[in-house]
Amino acid sequence: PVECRLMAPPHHTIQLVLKVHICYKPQQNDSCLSNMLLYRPTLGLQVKVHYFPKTYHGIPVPLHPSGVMLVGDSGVGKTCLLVRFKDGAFLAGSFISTVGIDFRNKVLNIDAVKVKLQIWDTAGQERFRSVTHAYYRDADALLLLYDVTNKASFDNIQAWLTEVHEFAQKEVVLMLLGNKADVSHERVVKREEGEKLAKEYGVPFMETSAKSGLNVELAFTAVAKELKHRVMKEPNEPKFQLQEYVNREMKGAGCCRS
Amino acid sequence: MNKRANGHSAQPQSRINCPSSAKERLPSVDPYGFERGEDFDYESYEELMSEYLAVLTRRSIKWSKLLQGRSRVEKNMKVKRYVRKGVPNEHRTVVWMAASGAQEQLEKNPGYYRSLLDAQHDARLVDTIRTDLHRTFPDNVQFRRTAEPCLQSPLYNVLLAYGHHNKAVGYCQGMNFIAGYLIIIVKDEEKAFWLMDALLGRILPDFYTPAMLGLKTDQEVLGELVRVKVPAVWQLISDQGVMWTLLVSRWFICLFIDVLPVETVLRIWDCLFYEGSKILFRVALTLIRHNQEIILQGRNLPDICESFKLITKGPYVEDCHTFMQKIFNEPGSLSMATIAKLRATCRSRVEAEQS
Repeated sequence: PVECRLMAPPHHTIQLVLKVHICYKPQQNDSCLSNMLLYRPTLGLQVKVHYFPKTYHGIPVPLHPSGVMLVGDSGVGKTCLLVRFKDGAFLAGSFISTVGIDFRNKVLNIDAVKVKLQIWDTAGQERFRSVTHAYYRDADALLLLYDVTNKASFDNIQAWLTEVHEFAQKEVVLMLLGNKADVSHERVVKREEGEKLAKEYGVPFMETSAKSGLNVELAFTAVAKELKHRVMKEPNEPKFQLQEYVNREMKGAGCCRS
Repeated sequence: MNKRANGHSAQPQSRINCPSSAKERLPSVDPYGFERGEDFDYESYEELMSEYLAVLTRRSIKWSKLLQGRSRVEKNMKVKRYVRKGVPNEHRTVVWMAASGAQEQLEKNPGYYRSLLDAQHDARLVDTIRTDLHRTFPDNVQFRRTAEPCLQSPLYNVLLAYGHHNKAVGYCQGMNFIAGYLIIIVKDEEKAFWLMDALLGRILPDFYTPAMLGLKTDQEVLGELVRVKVPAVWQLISDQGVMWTLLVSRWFICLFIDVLPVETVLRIWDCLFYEGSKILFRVALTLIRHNQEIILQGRNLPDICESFKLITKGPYVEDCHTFMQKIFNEPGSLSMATIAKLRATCRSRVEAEQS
């Protein structure tokens, strides 16, 4: 056992980085964390992690992981979007309906700062909301999805927004996503309709496709940027404009038609 | 379909070619039609099965003697012991149907299932069920759209009929997996329907109704049981402010489907149909108690969530026969009276929180 005492003047935060290399046999469906958990007792490590979500004289300090929650009707593609973002894969017809609530981690590099996203995937069916809305209050960001080929999922967005306003934090980062934008022949919700609704509610908006990958990375990056700016903004730095950033970076579903 | 799903007759022809590894000897699809993933451990599975096949053969002979071709199962200590030791696949339909009262309902209501399917259908219910059809067991070859016959069609029928039969429930996600398993095992829509009716109507509390009160209650009941039986884990989960629903809702809603290995789930269901929903607490408590060291390493919510996924994998749960012995010893005594009392207390707590 090694004892280590650190002294710091009041109101200063000391960051202690302990790097441990652990060799493990990777197993599919087993994240690194799972393996760590397995081997931690063997190694006799007592790991306690403290997060200090503060800037330290402008020096990047690892941020507290941010909770991002995916919500929207059943079948709009929440899990697919998440898997596309996490693993860069789209395996048509290989997804099972999400029951209850699930989560995955992903670390993004935003302007040389590591932002860790804890992404919560929820069941879309209405009756599961009473099980999942308890977690709204912990979410820093909410991605609200509808399916451009399913009118009902678009019509329900207002109900979702009501729910979000009731249960989520006041300052939660919110974004509206029209998913499955790659499907042109079955589309029933025009891009303009999504834009209009988003404007009405003052929510950033874009169309995405988990299948083609359209704007998927951007959706999560934009959210991560906003969250990072909120925590690490320097006094004289201008406020991050999420919608402007999105407008600049996003690609249209049918970019080559007009 | 019969050919694909008939028990454990995977090995015979393999001796002719003398393949060198277990992966070459065993098919890439299990006896129920599920594809074995990239990470499937063929070696240890083969080792396990070489022992379990002997158990299955022994049990099979005993069950054949007990049933003697009848479709009736008495409720007594001997049968209970038999059920706990596992119902061989060829007897599962008969035993599940008889023990759960589904057989009686089927005989009392001839033509009822068909009439549900022939009646006018609720369009919203149809839509909701259709959304999940291609998302039910995409890893099972029998559920592929190209399969002949494709089990998506009986799945749709059973869910549709059940939704009209029990309007208070309609369709709840998770039921698709349960109906899917029933169809794989009993290979008969009408029987699967009556087993759904037994499970959702009599055996389980109201897990699937829109308010999901039974689910919320049982999650709290499990919490209370953990408080008594594995206090350190309860302490950690309370300290971290983790809600039980986050950790175990899938366990209850899916009755361990896609949580535990197929063979283990079926062994749990043997007891579920015969003894009732108490078995779900036994399984959950065993998993938590046996793995408390792993769970207690967690220092935050994601760690804990991850550990609850981790403990449903590996050799401990794959060896279904030993696991099923453990669930009756590991958690200690668990009387129905205790469960009933806890359910009453937790239910009023849940109801009070909701109003």
